[in-house]
Amino acid sequence: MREFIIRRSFYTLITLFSVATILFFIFRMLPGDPTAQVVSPALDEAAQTRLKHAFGLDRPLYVQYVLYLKNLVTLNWGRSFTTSKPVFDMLGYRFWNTIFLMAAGLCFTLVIGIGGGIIMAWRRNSALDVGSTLVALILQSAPPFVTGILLLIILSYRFDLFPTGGMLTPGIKLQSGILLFLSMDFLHHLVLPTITVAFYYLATPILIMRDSMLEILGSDFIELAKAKGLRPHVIMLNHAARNALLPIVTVSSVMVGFAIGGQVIVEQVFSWPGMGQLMVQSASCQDYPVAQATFMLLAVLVIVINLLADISYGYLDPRIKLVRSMQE
Amino acid sequence: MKLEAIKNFTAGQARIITKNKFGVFGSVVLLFFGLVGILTPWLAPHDPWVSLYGADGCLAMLRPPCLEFPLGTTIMGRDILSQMVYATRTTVLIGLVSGLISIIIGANFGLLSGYYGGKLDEILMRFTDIVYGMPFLPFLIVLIALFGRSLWFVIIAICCIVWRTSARVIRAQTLAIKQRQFILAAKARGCSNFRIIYKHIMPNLLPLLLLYTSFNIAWSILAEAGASFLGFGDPSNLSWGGMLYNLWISGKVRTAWWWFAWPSICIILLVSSLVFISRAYEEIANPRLKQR
Amino acid sequence: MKRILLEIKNLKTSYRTEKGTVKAVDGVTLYIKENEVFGLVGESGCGKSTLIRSIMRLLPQSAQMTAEMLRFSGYDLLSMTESEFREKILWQEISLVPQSAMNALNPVYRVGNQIMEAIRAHREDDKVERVRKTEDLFHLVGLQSAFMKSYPHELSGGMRQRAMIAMSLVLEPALIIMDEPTTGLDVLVQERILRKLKLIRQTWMERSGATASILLITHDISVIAEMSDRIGIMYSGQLMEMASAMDLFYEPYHPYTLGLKNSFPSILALDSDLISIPGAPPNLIEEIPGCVFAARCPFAIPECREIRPEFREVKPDHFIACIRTDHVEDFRRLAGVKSTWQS
Repeated sequence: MREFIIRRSFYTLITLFSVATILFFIFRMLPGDPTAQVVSPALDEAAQTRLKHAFGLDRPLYVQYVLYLKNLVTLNWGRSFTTSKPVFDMLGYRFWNTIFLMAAGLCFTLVIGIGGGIIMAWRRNSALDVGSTLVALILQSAPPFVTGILLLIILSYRFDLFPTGGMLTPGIKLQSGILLFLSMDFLHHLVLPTITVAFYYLATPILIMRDSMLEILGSDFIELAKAKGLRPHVIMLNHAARNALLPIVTVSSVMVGFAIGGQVIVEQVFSWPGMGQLMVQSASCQDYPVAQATFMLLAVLVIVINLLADISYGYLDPRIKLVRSMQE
Repeated sequence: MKLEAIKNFTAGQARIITKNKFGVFGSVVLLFFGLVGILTPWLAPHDPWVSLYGADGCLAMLRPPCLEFPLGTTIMGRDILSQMVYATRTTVLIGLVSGLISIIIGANFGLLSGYYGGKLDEILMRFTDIVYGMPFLPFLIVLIALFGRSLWFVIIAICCIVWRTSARVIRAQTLAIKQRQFILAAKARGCSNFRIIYKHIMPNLLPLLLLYTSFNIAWSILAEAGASFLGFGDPSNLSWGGMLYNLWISGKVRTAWWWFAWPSICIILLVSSLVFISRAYEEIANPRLKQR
Repeated sequence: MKRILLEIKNLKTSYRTEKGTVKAVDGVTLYIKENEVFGLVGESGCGKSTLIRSIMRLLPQSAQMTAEMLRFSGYDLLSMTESEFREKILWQEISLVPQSAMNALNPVYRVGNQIMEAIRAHREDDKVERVRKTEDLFHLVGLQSAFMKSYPHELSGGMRQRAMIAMSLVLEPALIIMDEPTTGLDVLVQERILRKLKLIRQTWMERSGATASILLITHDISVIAEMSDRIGIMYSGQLMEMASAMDLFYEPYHPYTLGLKNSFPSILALDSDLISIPGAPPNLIEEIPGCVFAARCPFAIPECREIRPEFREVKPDHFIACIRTDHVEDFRRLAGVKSTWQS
């Protein structure tokens, strides 16, 4: 098992490294002056030359590459073109805001998705099953800005139940840190974006869980469990669901890749001060250092979550350990 | 000979899709949007870019749906119906082109990787892992921000990423089919690898391929809608997402419900029709979903 | 005189399918006594598996079962509620060793735990008791206790089957149903397993003092011959003949049984050709008037195709579904000749 984790982690590092490299080259392929993404064209000639030298931009490509990697790892992510603040500082709190929203959405999704899938399989072909399938498929087809704006129109504009955006009501003075995340005001602002995020992810786990459950319910070991005289809910949960969960873990890593896109949109619609919003802003005004760093951070998020999903799959499915060790 | 095969194939697929209520709905919707996309110049009553004046002589700003403007107008006085018709063309085009290109890439990756195994498999799959590590929408945004907002860049950017899921799935199936007797028999007959992959294995993967083509088109449409909504679409080629972007920046979301409704409904309709058709294929690939 | 443990009268089970109603079990009447091995033989698809699933209420929703009587050890199985059936009958009184034991174990739980789960579902024993019981049974079937902690995929097919046998014994049921325990195994392994099964049963009964009957399902007549006290011959959803093993082998009545006997090469008559029954079993969806075997029976007369023969007792404890029992001597003689079957 430990070998498995080490192997996976190693591959993850390679992936991270490759993504960083690809990013490096993409930015270098910019039409026009390639140094424009590091040194703001708004500065005067002399300042530009000085900065170029400082960043090593007058050195050969491979040297720049090494410098780039070094800076990336040492968290020296340059300065924003628009605010001139260090990028790292700008990203700091936004990272946590995004994570929190994602986590909230993910929890919601998993609970409803897994629970819903089990219930749908149990009450197969009932009105609940067919209706839920329909709803899930439609949600899957609705981009998050549609659901988000719809929720805003109904729950916020019309009925004034929830704030129209932002993370906190302007002007409120609250303690920072963990307490911030538990305050009523924050939670009030959290509701609509979380529902939107959750709706966006929801279709995949719920339908996969249902399909997976139905497949498993036809297995021999389920028949045996019934023959053993186990009660129906024990069979559903301990035997069927436990096995049906495995595909969800695999698919959740794929989901996260798409989900980050949804995250970006939700943050825009609800003016949630997270990395997604920053990504959009910086890309629109060509603040390249910020855009580059934000992208990298989002990629890191996706890759690390994939790694965690792989590892937990290894824990959940005892057959995997055997297969892996046989391959190596 | 070839024509017959194609006719049989299409008839077979049509049967599969229409067997299922979902499939029928999906096909009808797809056909509808396809037709609108083709007949665009004849269907749009006005030029979508021109600010229009109402019968009363005033600028037709933010008019709700009425006889003059059946779907309403935007803040610039442009006819939403005409915009919708032209946007249908853009959206369908992007979806189709990106979807088809990406399934071709994905299928080949999967087939070659699965069939040859060994070093090639390692390399292709590691590459796929890297692409999986790229968050989709941020990648689109970065590419478009760097290279410009043109229709073709959007398509290229989408194609760079969407193929990844089909690659993995098709590889898995190829691995399974590779072991079967008829493949071993073909090898023993001396069939070239090329023949085996494209004449023997691929046809067996057809339902899966069609399933993922459907998905890829759906994902491309959603991706483009997302990018356009955030302002990264092609400004000269309006899409439904782009229309919603215009709405969003005008700040009139609260009042102009019609401007929000029609593009949103169309996106949902089009994508769900693709998803429904996919569901019909999934039930074939996995009949246990229907029985018992 | 042994008492009757399981009594079935006119059991019918059908499945609703797209193509029509499949009558998998079409009026089966049989009984199994205490402390005996009852072998149920028949070709694949003759309804044996459906029969046992009907008894144990493991049928899918698309199936419908009716019976005039289904009694087990004083319980009327037909009138029991689901929870009663689950608590009192399943596994406690009747247990099952399914076909392909390979897949009958849940892949994500350890084998020992799955056995103890069966105990926990029905008894109030504490953990130590359960572990001890399971360990005991493991030893009985020839598995080391260390394997209790293994996952199913870590054991070989044979070991998994033995674990399944252990599991079936754990609550000391009165009836153990074994579905094709030797299918897919080569003759030598079959031999070993059968001997082992006999040994296990003997040892277990001596040790626990309990007696158990076994309902052994197979399509292999030689296995039946080895193991059974009484035998039932099933064809196309109906019982053709039911008798003690001795009676069946030395004084068979039904043409189908006679045909089956021919399908086995005898070591004593190395030169003779194998005589097989021509034709194939009928489609279970069709309504067949008269005897189901008439189409392939060399001794059939027109009446055979009109009236369905009653399953009646021709000798004490020997039942048969045929209207031409009066010619049985001739049939026995003619069945051994190849030309009889070729007309």
